[in-house]
Amino acid sequence: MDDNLPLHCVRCRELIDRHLLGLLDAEEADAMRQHLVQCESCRREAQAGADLVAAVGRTLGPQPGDAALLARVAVQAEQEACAGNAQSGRPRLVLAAAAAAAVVLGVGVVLCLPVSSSDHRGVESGGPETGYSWRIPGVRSCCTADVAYPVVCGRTLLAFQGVATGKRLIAVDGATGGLLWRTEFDVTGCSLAADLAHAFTWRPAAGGGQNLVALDLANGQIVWERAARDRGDTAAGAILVLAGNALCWTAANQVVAVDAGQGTPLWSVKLDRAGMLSVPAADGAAVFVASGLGLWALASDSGHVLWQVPYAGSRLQPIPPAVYCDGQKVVVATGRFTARGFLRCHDPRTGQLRWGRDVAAPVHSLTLAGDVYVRCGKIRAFSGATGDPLWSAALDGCSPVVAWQQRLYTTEGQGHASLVALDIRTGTRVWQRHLADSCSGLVVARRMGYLASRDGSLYALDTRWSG
Amino acid sequence: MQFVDTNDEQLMVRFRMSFDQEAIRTLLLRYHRSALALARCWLGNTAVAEDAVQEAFIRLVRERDRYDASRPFAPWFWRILRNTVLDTARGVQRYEQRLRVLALEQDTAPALATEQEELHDLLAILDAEDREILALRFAAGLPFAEIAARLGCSEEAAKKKGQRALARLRAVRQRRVALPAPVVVLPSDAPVPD
Repeated sequence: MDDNLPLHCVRCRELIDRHLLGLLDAEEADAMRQHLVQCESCRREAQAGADLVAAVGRTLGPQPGDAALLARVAVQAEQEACAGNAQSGRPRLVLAAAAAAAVVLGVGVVLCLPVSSSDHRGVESGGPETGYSWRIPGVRSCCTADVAYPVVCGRTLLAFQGVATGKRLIAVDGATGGLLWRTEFDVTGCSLAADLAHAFTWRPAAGGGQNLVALDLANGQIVWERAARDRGDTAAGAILVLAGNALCWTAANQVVAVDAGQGTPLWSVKLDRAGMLSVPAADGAAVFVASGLGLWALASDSGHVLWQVPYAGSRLQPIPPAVYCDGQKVVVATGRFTARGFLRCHDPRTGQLRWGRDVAAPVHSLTLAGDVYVRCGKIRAFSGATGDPLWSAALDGCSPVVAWQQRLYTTEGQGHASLVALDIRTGTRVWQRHLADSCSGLVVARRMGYLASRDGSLYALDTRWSG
Repeated sequence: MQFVDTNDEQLMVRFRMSFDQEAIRTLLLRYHRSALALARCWLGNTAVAEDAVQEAFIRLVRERDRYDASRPFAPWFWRILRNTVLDTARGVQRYEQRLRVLALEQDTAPALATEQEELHDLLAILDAEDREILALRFAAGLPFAEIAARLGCSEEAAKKKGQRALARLRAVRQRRVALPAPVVVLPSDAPVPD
């Protein structure tokens, strides 16, 4: 406190502190008010003090997600009490707890996926007793959680199969796992996409570098092939199919789009010194890409920059941000290799920031289904409209999270992993099945979950068996 | 509410003896706001603090048989919360150390949430007791009688401590304000696409 202040100001400032703490009696309150009317300096001090304690309240006090947290804790406490009650053999709730335990154990025993060391390339049929519908061994896992893998296109499923020289692209029937075709050449990278007529991937070029190839989805024959090297250096970036018969990818600091039917160049945009660019996302009219330094929206038909938003970040980040768009919002996850992941939600038309929030851990994967579901240590759900936390669920691992029909699907743990279905509204577990290993790719379509396991197999699981 | 006149100790005993769900819900309602305020001020991070509070309440349920019914409930619960927060902080520290080894460059602090970060920085300069008093009074809204019980002192002493804590916070903030404000400059080579 300033020693040069007049005595009554010194006294007033003590009273201001007592007032903020709720300790003033009526006489003191009167004295303070009278002084504040005359003294502008003390008025400013009173306002600064009030702002400071309000900031303490806002920072440490109730948050919008507290009610949801309380409800979640109450449910978990009850579940914990039930489980403990069953263990200690106390009379109340024993039946319910035993029934719950039996369900969990039953799922664990009956649905355990066996780990096979066989190396045959054929499909292996399963059933409810094995926990999977079919399994194809020798399938490569995916090296990034930023792209959907395996790729589902109608009834056809596309994946990479390991061979002695590298890997090939295979197409199988999604219902039976039967092989439809396999490329006669090796492919490269992790990128795979499909429209209704073609499958797109990269293959090593004869003179070095990579070529983008379009294959007939019906028979795997090459429809067209083009060198990646067009203007500047482009590597085998993740391919995104756009509206209007086009596809695009990012590589180094470029976004490149070509015609999907013939492979002819449409546009190419160079974002100089942007740093490593994300896998692109699109909403029909625009393509969104981000780096540590900002987010760009490009017109999907011309590549024209519609808007850009700078971030106070670094272009030297070891992993680029991840960008997701569901037509209503663009969500960007940054800080993916640091202790503090960060989410930003933008308006897809204007780029205006709607909300941003710290998620306390690196973001491994994210999915949008109205709200935002993030795997960052735990799985956390945030309101799509406000970014307020909705719930969190403790699940180890970093495999992808998939939303489908009011449920979230993901795997938990490594080695002795489980496929887990969560209620999308509350984060509570609906069921879980033991797996041979965790997965690097997970897609759910037509009630089937397709899972590229780290044990080297592609599994198809009927999501209804334990639902 | 069913247990308006029932004290914390009776609720805990009731829960332990008969697994009364309403009893544990009442305890959660009474303590969650203070627990969150304290965890946020100790850990300096909202998301991590929420996890710690959730874990503390689960530990309370798991360790219900260790509760000594002849002793007050509040100190027992605060001890569980404190231990959980310490475990959480140690886990976060280990995690960050591993990431620092792996990361080439730390991500720059996001431009948002500046008020929260600034306040956590200011609170971090204060003593632990000052931080707790400010959190319990201004964030949890506890009366001084309850803060005194938490601190293990008289109500009058708690009020004096509260005044001193607030004066210190204001002094710390004034010193901080007197420093030149950091200027955020976007890199001059920020990309401007054609």
